[in-house]
Amino acid sequence: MSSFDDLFVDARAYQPPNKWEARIGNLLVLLIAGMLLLGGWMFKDWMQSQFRYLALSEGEIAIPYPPTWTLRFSEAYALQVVDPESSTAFPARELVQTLPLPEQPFMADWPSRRADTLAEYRELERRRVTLADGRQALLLTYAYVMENDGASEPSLVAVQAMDLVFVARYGGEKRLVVVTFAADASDWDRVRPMFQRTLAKLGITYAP
Amino acid sequence: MSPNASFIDIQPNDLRRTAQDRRSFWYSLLLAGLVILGLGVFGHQYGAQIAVSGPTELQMAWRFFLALAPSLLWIGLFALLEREEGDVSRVLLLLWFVTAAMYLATVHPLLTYVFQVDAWVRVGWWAAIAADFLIIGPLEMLLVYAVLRFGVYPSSVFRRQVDGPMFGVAAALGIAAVVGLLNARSTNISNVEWEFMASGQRAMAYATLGGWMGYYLGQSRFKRTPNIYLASGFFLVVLFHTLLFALIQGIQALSLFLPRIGGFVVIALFAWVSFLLLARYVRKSNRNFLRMAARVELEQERERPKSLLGDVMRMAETPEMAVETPAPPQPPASFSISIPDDEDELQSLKRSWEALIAEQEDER
Repeated sequence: MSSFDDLFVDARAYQPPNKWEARIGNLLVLLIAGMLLLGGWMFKDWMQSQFRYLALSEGEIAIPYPPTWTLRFSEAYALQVVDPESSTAFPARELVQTLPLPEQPFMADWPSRRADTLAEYRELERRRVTLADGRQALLLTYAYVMENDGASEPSLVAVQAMDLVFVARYGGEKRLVVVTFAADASDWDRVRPMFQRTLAKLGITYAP
Repeated sequence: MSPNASFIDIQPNDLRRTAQDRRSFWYSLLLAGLVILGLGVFGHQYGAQIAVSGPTELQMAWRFFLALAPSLLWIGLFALLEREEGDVSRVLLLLWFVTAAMYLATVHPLLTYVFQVDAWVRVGWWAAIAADFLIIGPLEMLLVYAVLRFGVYPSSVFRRQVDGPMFGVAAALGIAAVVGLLNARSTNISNVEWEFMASGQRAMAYATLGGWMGYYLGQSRFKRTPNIYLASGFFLVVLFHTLLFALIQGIQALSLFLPRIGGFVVIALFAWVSFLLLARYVRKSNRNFLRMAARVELEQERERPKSLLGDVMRMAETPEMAVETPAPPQPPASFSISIPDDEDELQSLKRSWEALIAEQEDER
């Protein structure tokens, strides 16, 4: 017998286990597996609460983004990360834009700007929220249609997106910060928990 | 319980049957391993020249074939070599299929939707190792355990110790096949060189793990092991799963510096050494069973109750039994009355009565 067996096996017991011994063996295996999986569940929760951050300015709010998503550099955005697991024509993404402050209050101005620039724009929900430090923000959920440039044949993609809009200091001046979470409408349910966790990390609370 | 008491219940022939080896299992493993190794080397040398051109369906079929080939190759070789018990090959195929279907129905959805491993596992190497140890390893090995424990363990088809590793390999290859199919479906790699090696590498890794899980189940099937034995075996196999896949990922990370075939060869060596150890342990355990069978036979011979007829015959032959029995004591003289043969019973009684009266009168 192996040394491992020597530690445990009674050499005289060359008989099959009885029914209860077999059941206890099963239960102990299930217990070990259960304990490992419980540890795995806690580890998953911990991992899902891990983010990387885009620092807007010193002492300013930092924008979290999923650490496994791929960074793409673009002049139009302060940050652009894309989900590598998305297999759709329009991979899920998180974008951060910093824009000059509008003359009108952004709560009313931003949805109309979106409606003007996006094709087949449909507003799904508009909510006033509060960030962790108490500042007011707008959470806008909408859908639109865009052309899929990457495909060999031109095609249209239905995109669902969510904008979190607030005012913050960036580059030494106050600017309008727009954090956009967007995904192919067919992929929205899969990535929505990730977007919700990112929003929760920003500490938003829904105003009554 | 004293050791001698248990010997009475054990049948030496049962122990001998349990200790029978199955050479077809080891030979089929060896042959399949050599073919997979050869195909991997062939793929590495000539894979770049084999262009799988044509429609996407053809490329997909090619990838599916490579995912399934190692498992079916081994089961086919085993069926060819196993001539004594043809039903075992059918059980292997059934185990392979059931494990694959169960993986698709249980483990894959759990990994994808409940634990969402793909969403966070790529954060770093440490996350991959932790995910393997805490989630992927336990789920996959629990599936192998459950299929063997509730499928073949209680049945009469599990009749030898070597059947444990054999059934374990079949079940684990079912997982390897499904993982290969899922990878083939989700990735767009049509690199023949890489796919030859990846499917072989995966099959060898899972076969090794299944072999060990089956070994521990086989030991507990035929011996009265302590309760913690199976749980400890399960934990060790999960640990082994983690180490093996960490090794695979480590080699992949070093693929920029090492030749691509390096990882494949390392896993092949690992599987080779692991199966050698497994064969040695099974053989040693079989020898223990044979030794125990001989010992039990001796003990049973010693403990067997002797035949009653034999005892009587032996007693009859012993000189002590030849002693003459003493003669019965003689009756007193007063009672020694000679009775004529022709006298009837009444007369005899009357005479006895008169003799008794006369005796009493004499005493007075």
